[in-house]
Amino acid sequence: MLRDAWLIAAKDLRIEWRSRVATNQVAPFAFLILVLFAFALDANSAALREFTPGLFWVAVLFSGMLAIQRSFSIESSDGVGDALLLSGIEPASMFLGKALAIFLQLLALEVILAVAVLVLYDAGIEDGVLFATTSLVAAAGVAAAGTLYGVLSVNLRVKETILPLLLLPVLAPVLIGATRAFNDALGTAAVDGWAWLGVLGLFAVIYIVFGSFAYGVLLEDS
Amino acid sequence: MTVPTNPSPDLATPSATASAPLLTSTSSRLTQVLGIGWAISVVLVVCAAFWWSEPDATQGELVRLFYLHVPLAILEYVPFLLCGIGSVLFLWKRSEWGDLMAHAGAEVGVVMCALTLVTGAVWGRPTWGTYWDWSDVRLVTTLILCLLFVGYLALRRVPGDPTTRAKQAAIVALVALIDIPLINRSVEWWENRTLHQKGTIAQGKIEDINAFATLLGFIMVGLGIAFLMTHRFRIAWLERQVDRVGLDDAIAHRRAEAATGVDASVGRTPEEGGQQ
Amino acid sequence: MSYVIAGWVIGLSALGAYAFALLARGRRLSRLVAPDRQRWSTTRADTPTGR
Repeated sequence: MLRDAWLIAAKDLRIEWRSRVATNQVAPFAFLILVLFAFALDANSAALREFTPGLFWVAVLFSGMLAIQRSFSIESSDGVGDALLLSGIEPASMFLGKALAIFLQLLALEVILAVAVLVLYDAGIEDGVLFATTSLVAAAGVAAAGTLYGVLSVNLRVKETILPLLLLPVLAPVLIGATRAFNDALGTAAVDGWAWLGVLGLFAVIYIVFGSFAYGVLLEDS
Repeated sequence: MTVPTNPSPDLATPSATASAPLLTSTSSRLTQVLGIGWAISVVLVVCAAFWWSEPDATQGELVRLFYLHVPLAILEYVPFLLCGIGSVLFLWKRSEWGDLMAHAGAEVGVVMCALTLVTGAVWGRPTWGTYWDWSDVRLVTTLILCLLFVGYLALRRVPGDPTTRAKQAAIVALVALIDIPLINRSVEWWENRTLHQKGTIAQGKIEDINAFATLLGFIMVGLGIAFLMTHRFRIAWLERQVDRVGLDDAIAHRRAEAATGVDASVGRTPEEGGQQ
Repeated sequence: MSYVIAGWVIGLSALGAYAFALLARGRRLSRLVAPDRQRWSTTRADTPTGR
């Protein structure tokens, strides 16, 4: 099962790597969001530094949305989806594979954004372990929920608009939790970041489990 | 045989005339009773809120809005819960009934939820000095709940195969309902304080007549939910019928029935007609 | 007090408007559907004959 998942993930990542859409479009877009925030906050360095955690995660969610849409638009062309169904791979494995590929892309996005906020917003990391763990766990949650809603909206004519509307409210706990954990990790507010990591972990586990079961239902005849 | 509300003269068989005014709406005896009960309870709760009850010791006159706001805020979860139950029934048993109930519950729930937010904001302005407060757990949770189901309703409006859409909607409803406790927890931790009074009723601070007004408020909102849910469910049912049969097919079908008179539904008309 | 009245007016009128919108929608839709497909009305159709 995990081997199948890995096959799917490797296929997706290979396509992404060859098409260069993630590197040439999604990553620059994420960077662009950070630049726009600086304009919106009137180039106020103190404010940017203080709100770095929130701005960082909003940028991750918005650019992650593009990565999720990408990941499913490659399925809808050339009958890839049908071919996958015929391959006899379990839906749960497919879900885990897709989620894993999105998870790895989100991690890459987070690395780019982290470097960008360190340089552009003058943020400083106080607790590197918490920073890294939060990035990992939050990305897992976003990838799991995003994969579930990605396959749900892929065959809709309005997929570009319905996906953010459905997904972003669901990700509210992730945004709150990851922002608070980053407040601790970056030293911008006195909170217990590790407690927030628990919320993020719970979110990720719930949606990985739920998604593994629900993915098959959504695949059946869509 | 002139029945003004009847759309097609071919439908004016004896059985149709006997009940023609009733056939052109989603009303039934149940909803008529519910609707009348709802209207009476609205009058009663308005009287109780504005004349019979006393001003609150701490909130003064503002407590009068609570007889509407609190029942809405608490009972709004009922339609969403019905939506969740319907979604599970659909996924588990492929129950069309469950799917329609889920759709009805989501829409009624969104209306309740929006009204909770509006009445809460109107109450918050004179009490807290602001319409909105981001540090309040229930406000933010209710807002996200509302947005989650706005998305659900948007998905349901996307045209397509009903079964596929029902599956997708059921998953979305379950994801949303799973998400609610997480949102509530995280918002509560987010700002560990709430402007809401905690358990006023439980502490027995409310006077008897005010408790009565609160009870009336709950009955009023409860009847309203039952009335709206029943009608909304029947609308969903009708929409499904329209989708399935198609307008022209339905009319052609009825015309053929009326012309030949062999259909079972027309078969029972002679005895009914005989009693006219 | 004006806030209280405003809250009640908004709340009740919105509920009322939604209820009437539903009733109107139900009337419009039920014209499109054959009566024998409206389960809640078949029982009603039978009741008058019992007189």
